[in-house]
Amino acid sequence: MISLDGLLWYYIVVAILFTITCALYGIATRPHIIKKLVLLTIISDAVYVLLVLMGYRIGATNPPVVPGGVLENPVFPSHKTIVEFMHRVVDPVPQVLIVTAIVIGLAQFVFLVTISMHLAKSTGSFDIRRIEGEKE
Amino acid sequence: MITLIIGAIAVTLALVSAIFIVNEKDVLKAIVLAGVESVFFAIALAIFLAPDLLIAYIAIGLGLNSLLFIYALKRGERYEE
Amino acid sequence: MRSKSFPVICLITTISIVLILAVLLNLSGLTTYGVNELTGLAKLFVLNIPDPTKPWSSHAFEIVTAILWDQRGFDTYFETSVLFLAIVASVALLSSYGRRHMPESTGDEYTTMIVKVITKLVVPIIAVVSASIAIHGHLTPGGGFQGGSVFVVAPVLILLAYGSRFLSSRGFNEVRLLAIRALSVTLIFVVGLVPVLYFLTHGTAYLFQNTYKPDSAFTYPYLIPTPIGMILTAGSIMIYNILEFFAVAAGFTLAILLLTREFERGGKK
Repeated sequence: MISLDGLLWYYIVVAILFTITCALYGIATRPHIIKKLVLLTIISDAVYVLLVLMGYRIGATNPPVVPGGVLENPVFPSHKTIVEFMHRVVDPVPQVLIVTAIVIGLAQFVFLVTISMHLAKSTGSFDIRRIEGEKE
Repeated sequence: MITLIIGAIAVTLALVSAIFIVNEKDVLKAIVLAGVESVFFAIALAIFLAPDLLIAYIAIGLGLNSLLFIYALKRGERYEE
Repeated sequence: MRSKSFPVICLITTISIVLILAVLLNLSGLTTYGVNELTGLAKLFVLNIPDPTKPWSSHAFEIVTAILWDQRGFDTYFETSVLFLAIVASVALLSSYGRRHMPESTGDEYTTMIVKVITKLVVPIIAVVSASIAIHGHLTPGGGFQGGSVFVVAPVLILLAYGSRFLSSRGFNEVRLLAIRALSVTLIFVVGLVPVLYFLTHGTAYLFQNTYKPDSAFTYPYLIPTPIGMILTAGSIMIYNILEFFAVAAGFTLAILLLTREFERGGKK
């Protein structure tokens, strides 16, 4: 049976997979190094969204933060509140995996950009065919 | 239901931006389009209830990545081919 | 050659294929979507972390940050080390071809008065908001990683509006930033090693342990009495968040500072 919720769910999954495919095609066929790096960021971003989608539940209303947290004189939630909260929350485990991945991704791109700047300084071009010597 | 529709629209627009980035000859325009694309992904993250990721992602994907690539692009040619 | 209408054709084809695949996947019933039950692991985390009566509690309201620094603390420490190594590698590459001459231009002759004044107004707001994100990491969405990466936007604005020499002359030089970075990572490890000292002298304790466990009495203080009331620190999570904030902010500020200096020096096109 086709339900509209299910159709939208699979539409989102397939659209993200197609975004990854498009970026892979661009990395394989386009010669400019900086453009390859831009498409690499798109792949990693699409993977983040896909993993977050895996933890999402239709009908969930709360992010994984217990409401009512204050710094001074906090009142911890009772067991009943937490069980009720558990039925409305999305899965926190995939989000934990991605928090560090985003920041480490930026550090890797700093490194890659530095290397490509060195490459352009020594060869005078960002074009991969010109660096390989196939085209003048 | 309505959240899934908004998420589907955001992801579709991200796919559209990705296709335009692949076909763009001007790399500076491609970098700016990547920033637009990361805004759509940030909307998707907000829809799928991940505010922790949203805070880090909007600063890094939109701001710092674009800055890095524009810095690097100054060293070489701007246009493809 | 690629024509002007090539992206549009590409787009129509792609979206129709996406729709067909979505219908087919939905009909096939290969995967389950939107299940109304959490997995067992997620249920364990959600039930235990905010509940102080449970033995495995972290005394934190924010489940993501609590998992990140309590249940997965050792893993996160090594991820921080990966970040550190990536920054150090790019700094090594960048400073090898700097050093010979400082840039002649200060880099601020291209910006107008409007940009400078707006930057002066916005930068303190960004700094305060990012510090708030990091300090309240165990209560509201956010944490050390998020606060640090939001903070880096402030040095970027200063570098773009005033040039790199402005930031260097105010004490943000490479040596000091790298020292802050290394010191923060070391202190994170020291805070994680304190339970080992307890293990050597008193009894059972675990590496990167936060609060008490059923078989271990070691605990960081999670409710500290002060004149304005009980302050919730959630054990070591608040300390880790603040240290990680300094580590991420100093590391990325260092990388962006060196890149901007390289950018200002100019070079052949």
